Amino acid sequence: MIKKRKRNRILPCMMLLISLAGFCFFYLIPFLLSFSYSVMDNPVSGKFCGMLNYKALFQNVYFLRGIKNTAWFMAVSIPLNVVLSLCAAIVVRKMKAHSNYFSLVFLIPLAIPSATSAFFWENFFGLHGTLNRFLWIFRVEDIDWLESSYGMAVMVIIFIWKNVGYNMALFISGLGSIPEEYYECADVEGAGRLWKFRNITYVYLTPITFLVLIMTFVNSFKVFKEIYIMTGEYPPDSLYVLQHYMNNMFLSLNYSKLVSATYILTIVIVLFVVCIFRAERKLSEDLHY
Amino acid sequence: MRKGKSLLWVLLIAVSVLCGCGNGTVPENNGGQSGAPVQEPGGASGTEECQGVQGKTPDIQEAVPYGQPEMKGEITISCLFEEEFLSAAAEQFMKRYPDIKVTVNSYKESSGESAVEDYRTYLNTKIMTGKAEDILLTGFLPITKYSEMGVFEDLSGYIQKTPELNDENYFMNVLQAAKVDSGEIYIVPYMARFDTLAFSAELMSEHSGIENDIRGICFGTAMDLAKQLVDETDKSNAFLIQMNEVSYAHYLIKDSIGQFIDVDSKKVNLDSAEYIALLESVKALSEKGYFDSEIDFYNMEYYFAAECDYDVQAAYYSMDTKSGTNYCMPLTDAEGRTLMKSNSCVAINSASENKDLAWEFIRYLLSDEAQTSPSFHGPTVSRKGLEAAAERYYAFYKEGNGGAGFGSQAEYKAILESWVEQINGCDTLDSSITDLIDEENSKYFSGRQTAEDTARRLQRQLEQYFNE
Repeated sequence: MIKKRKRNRILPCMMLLISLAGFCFFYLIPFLLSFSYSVMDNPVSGKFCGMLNYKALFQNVYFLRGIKNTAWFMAVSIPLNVVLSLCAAIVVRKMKAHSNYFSLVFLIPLAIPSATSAFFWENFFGLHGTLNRFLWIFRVEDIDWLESSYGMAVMVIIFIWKNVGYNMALFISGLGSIPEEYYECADVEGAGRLWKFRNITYVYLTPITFLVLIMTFVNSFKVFKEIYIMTGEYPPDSLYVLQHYMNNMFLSLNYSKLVSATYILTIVIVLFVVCIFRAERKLSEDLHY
Repeated sequence: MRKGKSLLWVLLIAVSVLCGCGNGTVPENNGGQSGAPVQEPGGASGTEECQGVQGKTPDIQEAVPYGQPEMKGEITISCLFEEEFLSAAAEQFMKRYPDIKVTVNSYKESSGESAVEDYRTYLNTKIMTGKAEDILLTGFLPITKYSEMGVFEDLSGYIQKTPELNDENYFMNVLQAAKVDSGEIYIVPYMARFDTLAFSAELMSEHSGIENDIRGICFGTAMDLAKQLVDETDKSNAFLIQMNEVSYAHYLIKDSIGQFIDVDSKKVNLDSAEYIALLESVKALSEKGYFDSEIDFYNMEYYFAAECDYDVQAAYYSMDTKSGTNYCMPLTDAEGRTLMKSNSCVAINSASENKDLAWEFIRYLLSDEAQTSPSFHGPTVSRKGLEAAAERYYAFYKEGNGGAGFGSQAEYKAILESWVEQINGCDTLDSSITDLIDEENSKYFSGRQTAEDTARRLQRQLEQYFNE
């Protein structure tokens, strides 16, 4: 009996070890090894320069702009995406007919390659694009959406369009796991819609909401692909995100700054994820009691 | 348990830092050198000797004679496309030195494939991991950025200490054309390529008051003259030059690039009234029909007032009275400098462990044996090589004319020689800059944005390029 229990414990560990080894060899160890680049003036000469690269980053107007835009983008797009996908999930769940087709519409953007969707959005938001042609009906002058201060809004729209379907699917599965009896019981007690949402739906969706939050956070870095295809290496100021800075540092051989920026970004991501997990644990405990 | 974990993490980080630092290089100690590393003791024999004498100590440099290294080992060469001359030279070099293996790593087989960005990414990764080839062909590479980052070895010491590299045997103005202000030479040409410009003989015959001994002309001045020729002729279908607006603007901008971009101080001045005026002037020319958008080349008579050509062909047509061109000359910039193209140059990777052997290969590329080879398609940097090239090209163009050539071979060689001797600079502007400019300009010429928008966008993009 004890032997069997021991084997049951060792087997999963061994299986996990394979995955862990891959993660270590291809991600963790190279990442840790790359730290040395961030304390060199440049990797070709290999001259030690301490924390000068980190200091230089915080004095670099483009890096700071990248951080600012990335933070703004995340602060707006992540909550908006979560709320919209939750609303869409609730609507789809409530639909009596054609709910499958409706959810399919939201999932289609996930299957469209980035280059194709970038082409579409460029033609939509371009100076001579569809949106400006439409607005011209109301005699609104042409706006270069990507070059103007609306650039960030464009980025948020593209991100939501691309990701709302995925999050909606996660929420639908979460909603499906809430027992119907709870709602029936609440109905018997005469509870309103808001009460049911706050005390049943919201409570039981908490774990899935945190999963959606983390997935949206991770996916928010991927909007760079579309923006890069649409605006190239040197985008308008409002669309300049951290990945632009990193990508350009790679192309100009400035690995020292690239690695320094990566480490800063990693610290921010780790802190964010830790905060999310702590909040989730705290909220679960509160709800439990 | 927690303490154990923390200890493990600290150890991991410490090991990683130590591993990363021990990458075969030590901090540079040669002050004057722009970022090139000093190799650890135990590297190739002559390297430290050579690096130690660069820059600040020219007197010592002259005192140390050049010693050939042990001709044994392996040299690797990186290039974007397969090059005939390179493969031939590598083969001959290996025959001469059987203990040396020369490997040419071509990223793509033929020049038909567009892969510049991919090649740059590929090479960047290799450079940063210390695995780049010993010799790099500089075509399509960001020469200034690589030089600033210390990727290229300073070759001025090697050039000075190689006895055969002198004015008697070589066009030293070409070999040293890429010398930077502080004296370093990071790239060495194996051929002297440059643009030329000629005027239409037919239209020139109607025009008077032009001197026949112009040695070089900048694009802007040439186009002013070409416009006069078009305006004065009564011939229909006379155009400025066989180019579209984007190419025309490209040449005009390169003419006075210093006015718009200062690479050294990383200053950009493209949102200026001058740049906007330049774009508008090109568009105005286009709208007035100075370009050839409507030509039916097979069914109508047409004239181009000016024509851009490449060196060896232009030299022949300058003698050919039936070619229809006249006053052929090298194209200069607005300051009158004749700039050599940087895509026929080589550099040595500063992280190479075989710098001396790599230089020996470059020395072979520059030798008369290699330079006289027919695989070199253009004016070579060695005088004997140019003589051989003149012989080959004269015979080739003469044959093209059914055996009835114009001028003589000696005349042809003299023209080429005088043009090559005019070279006094090298165009090292990163092609990504000109690509960015051309891309935005093409949006303007196709009516997708205004000149002001174009100038503003370019200003922003290039400021980012230089100051990120």
